[in-house]
Amino acid sequence: MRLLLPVAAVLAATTLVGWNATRFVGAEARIRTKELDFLPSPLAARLTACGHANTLAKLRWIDSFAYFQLVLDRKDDRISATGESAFERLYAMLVGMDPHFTEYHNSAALNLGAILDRPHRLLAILTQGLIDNPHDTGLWRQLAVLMHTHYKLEERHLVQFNALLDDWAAHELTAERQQQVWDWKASFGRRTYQGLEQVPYWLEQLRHAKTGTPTHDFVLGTLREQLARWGEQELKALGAQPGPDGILTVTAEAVARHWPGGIPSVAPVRAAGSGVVVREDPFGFAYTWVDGAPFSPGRAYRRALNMADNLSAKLADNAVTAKAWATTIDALRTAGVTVPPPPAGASWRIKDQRVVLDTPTVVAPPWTF
Amino acid sequence: MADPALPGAATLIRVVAGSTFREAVRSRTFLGLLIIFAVCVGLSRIVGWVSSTDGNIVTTDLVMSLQAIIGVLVAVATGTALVQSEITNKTLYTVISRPIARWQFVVGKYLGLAAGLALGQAAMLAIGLAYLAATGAEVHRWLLLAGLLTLVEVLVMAAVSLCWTALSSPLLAAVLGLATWFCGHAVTSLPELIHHLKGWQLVVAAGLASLVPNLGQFAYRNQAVYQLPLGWADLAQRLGYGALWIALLVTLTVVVFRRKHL
Repeated sequence: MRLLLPVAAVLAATTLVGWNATRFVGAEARIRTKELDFLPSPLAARLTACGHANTLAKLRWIDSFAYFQLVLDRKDDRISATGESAFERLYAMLVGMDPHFTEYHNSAALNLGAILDRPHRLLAILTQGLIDNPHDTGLWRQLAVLMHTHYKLEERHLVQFNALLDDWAAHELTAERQQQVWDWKASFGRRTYQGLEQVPYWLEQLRHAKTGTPTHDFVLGTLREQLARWGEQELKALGAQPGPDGILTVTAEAVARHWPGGIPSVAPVRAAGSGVVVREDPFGFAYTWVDGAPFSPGRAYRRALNMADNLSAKLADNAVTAKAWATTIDALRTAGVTVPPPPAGASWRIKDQRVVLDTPTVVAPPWTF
Repeated sequence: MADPALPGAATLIRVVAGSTFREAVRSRTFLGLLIIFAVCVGLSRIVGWVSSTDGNIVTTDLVMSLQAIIGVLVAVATGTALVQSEITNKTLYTVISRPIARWQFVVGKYLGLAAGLALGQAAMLAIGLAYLAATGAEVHRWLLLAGLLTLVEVLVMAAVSLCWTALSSPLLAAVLGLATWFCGHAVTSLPELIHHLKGWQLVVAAGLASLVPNLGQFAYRNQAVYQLPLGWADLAQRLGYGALWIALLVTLTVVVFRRKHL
């Protein structure tokens, strides 16, 4: 009897811990979507933080990640009740509570600047960030990229743009960092490829996104998409034609004429022996010929993948109305949901109550940066 | 005239303080809270991992906040129970029947509690900083200063709790203690809001807010995480501010305790 009780207690504890742990076995990541309806003003938030403004701001920021996915899907951050911008309220609160954590500013650069295209609001946040953190290299770089990409300051007022870069260099605390500003300034002079103006901006966002997060995947996908679209344009300009095996070909003469200074590193062609060959698109798929023009399958698959989230939402709506989940794409169409045809080589499928896109296997590793 | 055979006031206070300190340190609550702190600190890295950053700043913030929150909770819980437990156990009557003044008893009790709380805070800070160092976060001297100012906040809260206990019941004192903590931090941001008020409203609001210790003075942890420096003069002013509040609150407790019919 004396031994029975401890043994029973250990058994019960083991069972309960095991029971709890089973929830994590085979668990899959689910995208949470939530609204940011109830955000206080920065002052009210600081007033109620009880001396823990930093910690509370960071916890609120982490919690709001779930909302990022919602905005990425909808490209809209208006609060349903008032129509106010939830992101603007969120960043005003975070920066007001914890002004020295510059990840908020970097996050605002992506969400307000790139996704929602509100450069004026972003400019306000970055300026405030630089008042609070005048020596932060990342904030200066974000500001310079914003002025260059959105406001075209280099083209409109070169003197002012150079003054901004000089100001940045003056605020750097080490000679090495100052040199980086000059290198950065020089690199702007080299960007001459039409259609790739946004690439430096997205590369900057990629620097701040953590690998494996939805934000990182989104930025990487956007970069690849821009380069794939540019690749299609350039292949067309190079006079690419499909061979008998369907593989696109270009002539070395056309390439030499098009890029007399040498083939750019992100070009859709590369030198091979004495000639040139067409590379795989940035997603790792071979360029094909569709409707009389070069076509990047990877880009089409990415667009379709974005569509899959909307289709999954419609699948869920339909399940509520029909009180049963459609298990095939045909059943979903029969239920009245418009499912667009998948891109060439891909197909729609329903898996675990979500619409997924099956694509062919890549022929080369996707580009990394 | 004082009897030369009786021990001096300092000795009596030291005896009461020593006994209170030993009682506090030996209690299971003390060890239990340290264990809870260590577990929470261990879990704090998870928040760092999900933060989309390297997680070091996030974890440091959490560790410093945990030290303050658990410290204040301990201060309020023990501060309110300090004298009441003596009354409940009837040990108080044994003590005050001896040739010891009530003020000596209160001061000794507070000093013993303060020493126990200081030991707890030091242990928490050591655990927290060791964990941060082990997980790759930068540990710098500003965190030690932040820890010191958090200790002052905890000691002020212990004095607040002691004072409220003298004026009310232990349960009510705990509630009032936590309310004082909230108000003490809220009044830090009040000057930014005061422009909404005019005339007598402004005078009343500013007057009431000035009755509460401004605990924002001790929340340097929010700046220390980013290694923002704190000057010696600023540090001395904050330590002096805390010491004055502690002196005032303990004196108030003594005045009330002397008038109590026990």
